[in-house]
Amino acid sequence: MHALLIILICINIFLIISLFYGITNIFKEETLPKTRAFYSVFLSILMFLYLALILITGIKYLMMSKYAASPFLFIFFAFPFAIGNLTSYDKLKLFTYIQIAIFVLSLIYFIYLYVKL
Amino acid sequence: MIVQKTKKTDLDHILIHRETVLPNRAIMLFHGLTGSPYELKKYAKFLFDKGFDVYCYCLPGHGSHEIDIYSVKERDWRNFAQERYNELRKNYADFFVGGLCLGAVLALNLAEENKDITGLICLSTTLFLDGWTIPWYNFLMPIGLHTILRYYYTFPEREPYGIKNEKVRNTISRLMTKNTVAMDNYPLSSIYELLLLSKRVKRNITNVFAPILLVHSLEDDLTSTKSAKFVYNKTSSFYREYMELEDSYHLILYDNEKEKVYNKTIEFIDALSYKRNISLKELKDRRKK
Repeated sequence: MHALLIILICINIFLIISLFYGITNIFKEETLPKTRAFYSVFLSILMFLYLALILITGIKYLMMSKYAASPFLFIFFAFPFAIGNLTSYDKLKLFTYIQIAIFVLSLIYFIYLYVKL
Repeated sequence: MIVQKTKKTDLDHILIHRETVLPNRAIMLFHGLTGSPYELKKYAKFLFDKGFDVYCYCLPGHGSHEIDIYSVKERDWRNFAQERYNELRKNYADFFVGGLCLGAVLALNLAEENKDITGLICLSTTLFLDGWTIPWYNFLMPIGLHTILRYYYTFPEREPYGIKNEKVRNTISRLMTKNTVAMDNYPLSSIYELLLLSKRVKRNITNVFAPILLVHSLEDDLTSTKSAKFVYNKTSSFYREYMELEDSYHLILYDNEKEKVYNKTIEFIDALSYKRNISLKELKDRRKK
């Protein structure tokens, strides 16, 4: 469980940094298509790992009969989809910052879970 | 003959072949996703030589600035097609609509909403993304489509560019580096919009009553023949034709069997005219009786 939470914390940090990088650099004209392509793959892998690990952690907590932690984890799982469905290109900056804020919250929560273990 | 090319940028142009004395028939063609009317140029010229007025417009989100494709919605494409259709339809007795890839889906959508289209020509119809270049991890796509990744994920255009013919592929590759025929990368959001449009078309497919020609390659790298077969089986058209190609990829208008596509189009239109004349004759005979 410790290892799982550490990986989640690391992925979370990477996600926050990557999204910051994305919003400041990726839409600039001088950004090369190859950089964009690599960035997209990197961000997708991080997002996939984040969602998959949250699910696994949530299920593990349920199996350990620690029912208080699981709902928060499932909420953090659902948030990216809720934000994604609300986002439009015109409001991308705003929703990216909201997504970053959610990642920061989840990071704090994972650190809390780790300390509590 | 008026050949009008309104050029704003390298990508953005309208290609219109129009006789000064209007013929009785016209065809409106739509290009594919991230493409431009350039990809229909030779086909349009061919149809013009066969006596059609031909209209190829650059779809919203394409042609101007690369970033425009990010903000385009499928309803922009639908509205654009409908407006052009309303403008042109009244000028012609026979009006055909067609397209390649996204253009074919858009033509189908137009036919679902307008019952007075003379005929449909759907080339490499893209309702399902299941071609052989679609990676095995495609099942993860919903994660990208329904999260913020939709705007951050981009696909670089890469070989085979939908073309099997190596000579043509090299030419396209060279043109791509100059960025004159199509975008060199496209965002996931455009795929999302294409899938939304496809979903809408699939839902209302039985509302298509116009005669239809479907041409699809067995080796299409982007979408398998499932899309064309779906349309063929579900439309309510009284006249349907389906042709499979064996030596092409997705961009069938530039590939090894382009002549076959050209000739099949004319064959379809002629067969359609013949069928319509026969049914008109029958109708007149019945009235006489």
